[in-house]
Amino acid sequence: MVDRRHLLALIPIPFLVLAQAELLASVLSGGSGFLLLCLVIGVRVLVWWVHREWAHRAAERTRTRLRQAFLRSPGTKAGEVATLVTRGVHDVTPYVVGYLPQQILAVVVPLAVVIRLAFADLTAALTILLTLPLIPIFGALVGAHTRERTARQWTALATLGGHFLDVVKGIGTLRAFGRAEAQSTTVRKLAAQHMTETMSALRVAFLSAFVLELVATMSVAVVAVPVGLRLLDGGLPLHTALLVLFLAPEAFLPLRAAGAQYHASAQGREVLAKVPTHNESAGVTPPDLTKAEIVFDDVSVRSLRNFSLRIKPGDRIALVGPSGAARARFWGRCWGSCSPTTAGCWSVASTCARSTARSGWKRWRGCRNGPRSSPPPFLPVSSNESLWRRHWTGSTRGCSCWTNRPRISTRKPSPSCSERPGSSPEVAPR
Amino acid sequence: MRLAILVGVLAELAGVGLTATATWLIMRAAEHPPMQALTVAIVAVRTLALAKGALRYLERLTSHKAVLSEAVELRGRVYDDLAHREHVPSGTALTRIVTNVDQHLDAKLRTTLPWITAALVAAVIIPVSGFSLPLIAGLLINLALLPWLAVRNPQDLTPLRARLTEQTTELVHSKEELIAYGLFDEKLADATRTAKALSRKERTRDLTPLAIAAQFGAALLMLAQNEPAWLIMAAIATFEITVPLAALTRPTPEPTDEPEPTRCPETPDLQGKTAIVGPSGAGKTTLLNAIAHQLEPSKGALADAHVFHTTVRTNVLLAKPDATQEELDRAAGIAELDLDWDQVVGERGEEISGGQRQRLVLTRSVLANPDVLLMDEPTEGLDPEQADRVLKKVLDNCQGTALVVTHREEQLALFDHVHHRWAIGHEHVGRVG
Repeated sequence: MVDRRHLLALIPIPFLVLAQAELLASVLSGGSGFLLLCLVIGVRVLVWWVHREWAHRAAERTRTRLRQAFLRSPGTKAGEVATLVTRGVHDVTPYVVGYLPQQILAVVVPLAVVIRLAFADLTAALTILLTLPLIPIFGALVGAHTRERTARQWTALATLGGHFLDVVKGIGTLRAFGRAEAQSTTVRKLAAQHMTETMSALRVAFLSAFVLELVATMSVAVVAVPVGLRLLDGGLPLHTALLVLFLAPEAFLPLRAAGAQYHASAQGREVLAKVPTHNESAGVTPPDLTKAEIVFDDVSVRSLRNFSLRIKPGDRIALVGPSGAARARFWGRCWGSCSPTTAGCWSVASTCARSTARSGWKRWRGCRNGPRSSPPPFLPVSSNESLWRRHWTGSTRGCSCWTNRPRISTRKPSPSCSERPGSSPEVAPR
Repeated sequence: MRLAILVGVLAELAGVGLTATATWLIMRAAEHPPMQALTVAIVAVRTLALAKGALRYLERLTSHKAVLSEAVELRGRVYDDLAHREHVPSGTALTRIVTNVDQHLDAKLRTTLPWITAALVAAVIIPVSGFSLPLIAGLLINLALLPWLAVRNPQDLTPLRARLTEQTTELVHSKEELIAYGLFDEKLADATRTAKALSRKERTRDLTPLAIAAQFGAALLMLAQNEPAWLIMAAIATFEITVPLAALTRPTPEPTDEPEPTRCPETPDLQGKTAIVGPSGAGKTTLLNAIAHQLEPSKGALADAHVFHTTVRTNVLLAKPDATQEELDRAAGIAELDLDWDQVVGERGEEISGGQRQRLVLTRSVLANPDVLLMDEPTEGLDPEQADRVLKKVLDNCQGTALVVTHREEQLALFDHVHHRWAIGHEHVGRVG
């Protein structure tokens, strides 16, 4: 799902960091290498430019793929999905452009720095080698402590944040009932609650960043002061001292950047975690639905309980039942968009319908009730009644009417039941 | 906000100070001075190292706190404004208003605050450097030129986002119907095309490499001018703060202005019980909305019916907060609402069926008992028998005027008047015997 090709452009970075520190130390200690330093810096800018360019392209490809995935299996909550697809997906950009590269650099650069320092000054190299692991260790400790809390708070924050949108969207209704003024205090109260909850989450969440920052700055102090003292005693050349001073922070810089990017990309990672896993066409050949039987065997969805029905090819089925009798749920069930609430199975010609490719359904649908050429100009959400009525004209080869609630049962096909489906529903359990 | 800026500037200055002092310490030590000459620097290095970490933590907390407090105030203000506007904006405009509030707050935290902090740090460093020209030039580039280039003429993504929202909503809300008509794949392909276009347009101008070039370009010039090592390192550290500013983004607020709703001149007389009938697209709902706009909100006209993501009880009680349980049950009886009072209805009432949602809205309007009752296809989603029965009971209960958009001819007998709407300009008001 995530495009990672841009990470290749990072290969020269550790070498350039080393070369730059080396040359800067050389020039500042009175040595030569100014022109070479200019060249190295030029190359560094160039490498960054190429990397950023690739990174943004990778982010664009990732966004497109994510949006496609969300649109393909959109779930049921339109508001949530629409937010996710329009804005939520945009949040993966910092993840691809910022976090992924820093994740690599946070490993490679410290490694290069420690190796180089081991040749220049073993004490400094050991100091860094010992303090570096402290960051992930502390980070993991803080993270483990806060993970559950953060996850819980995220849910609470989403609810609190959603309240404002819900109230604003319903402002017309609130005004119609003269309740708009009264809600004003509730809006402020919930926003204040949102603030309190967020702050208590952040106080903990920022602790890991605090540890990171502190270890990084302290290690610079821990390296610089002894180096300065040894320089004073004449035990170390100035070039080496400066090299140690410049390289020590470089070992921590990518880690700190990765930490910052980790937080900046938190929303992006949340979005990635929501990517639906679809095994829609998992290699199962859809049966020929013009010839196959569709069998619902003891299916339960919401208020529809223990429902069984056998649909033969060519059958026309009317869905009849009072409001709330799960007609729409049944319809949704047909396409696998609802999941059964209790154990039950429904199958199509002995093939599990959940794994049947949608194309197979389309063929079945196409021959049953799909006037593809004349799409409805308007698709009301709960128009099942009219939808059925529109296609329920004339007599048919066979029909099954089922009605009543909460148990919707079937009856044997009867040619007499070809008029309005609601007119004479008979209840005759199979 | 001021506290957040102050703490932020102090944190960054501590970082720059740490680099400068440590470099000075090394350079001075190379001259082999007496030990006492380095004592202050050694203490300073250790103090600054500690201070930076603590200050950064505080800065993060104070800045978030400042922005979140602003959110409380801003949301309250935006809501109050909406509550007092003459016309209620459309659903799209309302969503945009909420988005704009969120974006404004986010931009404050991620754009405004970092920029102010960096600018103030630069204002401290420049005099300390003795007004070094390369430093001033480089900082001007990174603080003014590059951020300006980065946020200049941002792409207006509003139309694309609006289209994608519309397409997504259709895919979700009408999924079953679309599949039934074999239109799902087609609609999915349309939405995917929009998504692709949006993803392409979302690419921002990232000028980070240029900022790095300015950073080291200035440092190299200072090196060539033989500036002291500590100052060069301080300059590099200061530039480090400005580099992220080259990738700033400033989202444009989405337009929320709408044309004034057109006033409908041919308003049917508001007396008795009137049915509005006519083919799809004849402007029945428009007429209803226009009437709703002309009425005093206190008259309790009902055109918009939003179902809030809360319990059935709370949703119904909106109409009359001090209603007793008997009144609630009576209203529910009239509208034949059979839901548990404490059931949560879900986002836009998606946890209940379409018919149940309609009956919930009807229960609410029965409880409200307004002077003028406006209803747009109130029995949509109910089976015909129940639809006619419920509408009759609701109309019988209604003491005032009622205006109802309906498609069912069987229901016309329940009304005193029938208002036909054909294409614009061809109205006909008939009387039912």
